Amino acid sequence: MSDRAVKQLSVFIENKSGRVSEVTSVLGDAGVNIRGFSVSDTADYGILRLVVDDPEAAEEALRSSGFTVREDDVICIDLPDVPGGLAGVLKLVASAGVNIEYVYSLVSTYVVINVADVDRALHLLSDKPVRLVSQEELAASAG
Amino acid sequence: MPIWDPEHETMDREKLANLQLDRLRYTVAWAYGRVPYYREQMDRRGVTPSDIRSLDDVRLLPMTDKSALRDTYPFGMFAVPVEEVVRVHSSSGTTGKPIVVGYTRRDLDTWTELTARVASEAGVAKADRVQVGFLYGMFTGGWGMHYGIERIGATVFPAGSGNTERHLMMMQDFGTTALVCTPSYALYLAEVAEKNGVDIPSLPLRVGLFGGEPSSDRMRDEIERRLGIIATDNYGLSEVMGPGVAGECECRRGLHMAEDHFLFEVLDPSTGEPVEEGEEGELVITTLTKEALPVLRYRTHDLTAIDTAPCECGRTLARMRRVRTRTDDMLIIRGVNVFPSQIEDALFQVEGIEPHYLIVVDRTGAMDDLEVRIEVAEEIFSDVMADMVAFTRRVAEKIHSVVGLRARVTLVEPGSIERTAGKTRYVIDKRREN
Repeated sequence: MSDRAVKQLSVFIENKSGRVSEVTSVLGDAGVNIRGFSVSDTADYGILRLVVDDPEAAEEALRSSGFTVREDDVICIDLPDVPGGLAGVLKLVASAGVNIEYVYSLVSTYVVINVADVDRALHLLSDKPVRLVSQEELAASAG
Repeated sequence: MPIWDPEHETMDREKLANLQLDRLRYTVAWAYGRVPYYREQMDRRGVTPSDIRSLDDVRLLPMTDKSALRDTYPFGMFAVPVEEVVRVHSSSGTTGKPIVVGYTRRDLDTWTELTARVASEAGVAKADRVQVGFLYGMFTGGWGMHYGIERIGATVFPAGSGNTERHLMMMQDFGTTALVCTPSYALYLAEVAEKNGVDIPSLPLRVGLFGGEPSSDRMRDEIERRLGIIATDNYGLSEVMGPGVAGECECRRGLHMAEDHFLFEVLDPSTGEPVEEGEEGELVITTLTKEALPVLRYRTHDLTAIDTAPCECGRTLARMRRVRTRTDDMLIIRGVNVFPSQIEDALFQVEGIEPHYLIVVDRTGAMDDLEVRIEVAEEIFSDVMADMVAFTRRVAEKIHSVVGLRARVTLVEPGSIERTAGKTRYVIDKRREN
């Protein structure tokens, strides 16, 4: 994994009332701070994706509560907070020939993007005017 | 590995056939003379014991189904007065009255010899510490295996089924080396152990003796991997004796059948005609030495195939393939015959996974509806929705190509499909409940 990527946790949830609330309670009880999330859903189930301040603690807490959890590397970018900020970054990514699987926003002006090959995307973005957000930053700015 | 009863287990097959014929003729005469049900059935067909001149003549005899044993509840099929019976067992009897089986002192001795044989085949010896996780009480499983293992001289822990935490405690504290239970209970044990942080593969446990329900190759692989043991299968049913009817040796190329005490037939379940050696059919068993409860041509509803080729272990007893399905497991959905094992095969073929699954059959209007629920374990789960949707589509397509039916594939959370300590339920047929 690249040290410039950040960790994202995904949780499988059936469409039953209270399941998202249970996930968030488990994380709250474990002292984990959620920095951003997105839900992708079908009629029967959903995928809850989370970026948190302490991925290890979050993963352990969710797993021991019986959830199916997976961890992936994703790219976290700090957008310029101006009109066209997101568009500019996405254009850069696209021009690097990287296809985005999904994108969602976090706290502040952060967005997460995921692509098929994270390492390659990070490499292609390295000389572009894009500010990448590190895992430490996500943890430190919590609170 | 030593053979428990070399005289019978390595007997020349021609001599064995002669022994079988002698014993068959004796059993038929015994049943005809002492059990009104058999006399009636044979008289109706115009068959007398003296008509049995070869092993093939067994086909002159009537088949016996579970209903005959149920209709004569409790002791109507006994061939000896109840005072000659020293032990009685029964089936669980979840529907109506149970099936009651009895044993004379000699029957118990035979049974003990045969379960000792099965345990030896699995590699159990005097130095072993064997934990029995079969139900004791009226069920034949616990006591049957118990006495055979004692006869070998191994140390027995009669733990019974249930109380899984105590099982794990004993396994850790008593130095258990062999485990006797159903395959689904073994997996349940693995699951509870993993949840409680007990590392079974690091314990002295080295071999499992599994029986009491049908199981698949992959279930066995999973047991071996998660418990870190060698898994062996054995076979038996209360109606003809209990465990000890057949058991796997270290070569693990089928279960050696106790042909000196039973006559085995494999028949096409729809025509009742024998199938060729190696072909699959329903196993039909005639007891050859039972005194209290002789059984003629018992329909087991278990599907298997027999191989009489010599085994590398030196035993000459024929081998039956592990029972994976029963004729009465078959579901008829939209007029198509479906076995739960086919769905399991389809799941495995998709990407080599063996998830917990549940087949739900229901009827909407005149149409049967087939749903397959799959627990989403980590190896299936993706953070990308398109992958998940593609996975369910691949499973549905595979099921369609294997069984010829469209199924609705539903993904559910891990642990949401009910597990039981005993036999796992893979099918819910709501059409029967409505």
